[in-house]
Amino acid sequence: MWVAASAAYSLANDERRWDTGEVVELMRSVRALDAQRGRLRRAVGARPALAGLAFFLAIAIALLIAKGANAFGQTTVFGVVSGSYFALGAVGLTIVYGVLRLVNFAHGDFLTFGAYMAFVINVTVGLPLIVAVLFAIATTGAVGVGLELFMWRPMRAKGAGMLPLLLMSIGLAFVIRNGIQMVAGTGERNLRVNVTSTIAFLGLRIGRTELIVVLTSVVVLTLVGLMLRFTSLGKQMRALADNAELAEASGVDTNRIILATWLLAGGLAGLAGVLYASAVGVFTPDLGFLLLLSLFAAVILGGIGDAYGALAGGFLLGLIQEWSTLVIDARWKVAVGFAALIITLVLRPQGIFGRARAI
Amino acid sequence: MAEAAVRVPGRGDEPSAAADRDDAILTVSGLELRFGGVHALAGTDLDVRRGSITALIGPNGAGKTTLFNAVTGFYRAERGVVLFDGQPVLGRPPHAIARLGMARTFQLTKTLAAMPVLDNMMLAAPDQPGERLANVVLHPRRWRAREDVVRARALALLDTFDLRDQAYAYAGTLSGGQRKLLELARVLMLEPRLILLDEPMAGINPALAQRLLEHIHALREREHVTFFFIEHDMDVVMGQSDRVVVMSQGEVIADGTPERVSRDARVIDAYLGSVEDDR
Repeated sequence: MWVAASAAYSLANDERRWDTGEVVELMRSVRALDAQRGRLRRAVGARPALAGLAFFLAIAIALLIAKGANAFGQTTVFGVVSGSYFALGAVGLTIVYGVLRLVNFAHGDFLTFGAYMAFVINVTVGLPLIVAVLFAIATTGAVGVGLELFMWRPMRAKGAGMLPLLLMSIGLAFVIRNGIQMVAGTGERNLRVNVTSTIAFLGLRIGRTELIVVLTSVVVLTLVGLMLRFTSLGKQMRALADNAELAEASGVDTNRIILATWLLAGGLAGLAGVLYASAVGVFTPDLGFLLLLSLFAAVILGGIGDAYGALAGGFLLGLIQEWSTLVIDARWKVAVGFAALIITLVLRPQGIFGRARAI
Repeated sequence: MAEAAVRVPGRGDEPSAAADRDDAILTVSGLELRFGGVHALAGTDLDVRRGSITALIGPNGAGKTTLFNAVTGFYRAERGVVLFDGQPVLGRPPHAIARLGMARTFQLTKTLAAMPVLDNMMLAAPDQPGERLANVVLHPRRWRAREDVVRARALALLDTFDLRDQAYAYAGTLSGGQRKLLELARVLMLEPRLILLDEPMAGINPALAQRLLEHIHALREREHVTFFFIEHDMDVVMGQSDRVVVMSQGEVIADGTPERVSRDARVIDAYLGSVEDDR
């Protein structure tokens, strides 16, 4: 439209005389341009994830050129590190929402719980970190299962709506956080991890622990992704998220799948908590509470209820936050992350990967 | 099946009635369920004969869907007995009842819109060892063999219902008619002996209705599946079913062949009469 209008304007104001052939040629090229724009718009509409990715890559390339390979590479490394625990936490949060339609505000405090459980084994008892990690996963998973059995299931059986459950989860968040503060105090703690030794490659630095954190996260997330996609447990989880009544009528033991969902979400949260505590070095009982909003941002960015979306959303958020430090002060990186979230939602309310639902 | 008769003491006093009961795949007696103060099911008694196509009719609010929900475990009845093939099923969760071989459909056709048609089907297959990640990793061959069997069965059923071409499409992209067919195909993955259909003919065109009826009759002849269905279309009820159960206000008021039921004074009064009044 705009192209056509400006072409018509220049045509009308041009002193030179145009012959018919030239005008026809011009109009043809204008139409071709318009058609191209239409195609582009349709392409963006049909493949929003791809278009988003292209936009994201364009920003990355611009930053790479403007700030140099080293600065860009280094912030990318930091982005991947924080993305790896964002993604772990966000996947659990989104699976619980998908399967139960429960917005679990206590999920962040599951991360805190995991970090402190690891602290007990790693520092208080003095066992190696790997044992502490496994203990954190097991106990946080068990907390998820226990809460389902004693809190969420009875509430569902009574037919509780979304709002009471939401408020209960907020209350639960306070109970867990204050409980940890009561037992462990409010001071800073750290796990027995080496946070000073770094590995250099291609002129970039990454902490040894950070590298382990990233690798662990990638391996675990890949396994979770495969599980959801290919095992019948994963299929049953997705079926339950799609239509619980139909899943039950198809012979799926929905209560058992819900327990498995909590075990998975809790375990992932516990792992994410330990990984965060290890990568950052110090942590307080506010760890999860402070992370929770970022986890929600990752979940919503990827399309709520979509595990793969949350995974991508987590890494995306980490990268956006760290890259922003190239342009503005690092203090504002959280705000930048949320600004990106808001812009994404304005353009695409269902998230980058979410499908618009007809019903 | 003698057991079934033994488990229902005080019923079936006449010899002929006892013979009927022996042949029942589903027996409901004294089923009660209240919503607030309303008796949705007020001591419902009925039998569905093995191998029959039994229609359940009654005016709106008679408790037909409530009965389906109570029998299949979606609602918890307060009192009564439900025997499926001689086994008491009241109090069992819906998925367990479905696995026993009593499958159901819903009034509004449901599909897992975000999953492919084939996955919709395979979900309902019984006993999959692939449920645990460990099995996929440790016994990939056994897992794959089982998957192949289930997949073959699902594809064969999709073939029967002319949905083979849509096997890998998302169920959400199917047309309304295709969803109806998928619903019946999916239910058959459970290898059911009794299928409860909640208004299967509602809102579908006559050609599709004819196809569904052909499938139902074929399944009864070949697989000996029993059908129990809620229906409002009297032509379908009278023309297709062997037996008709009539409910009104949570109670069964008549039960028998279509001819007998259509002549029953109480039915004409409570059901057909009230329909005339509505018009």
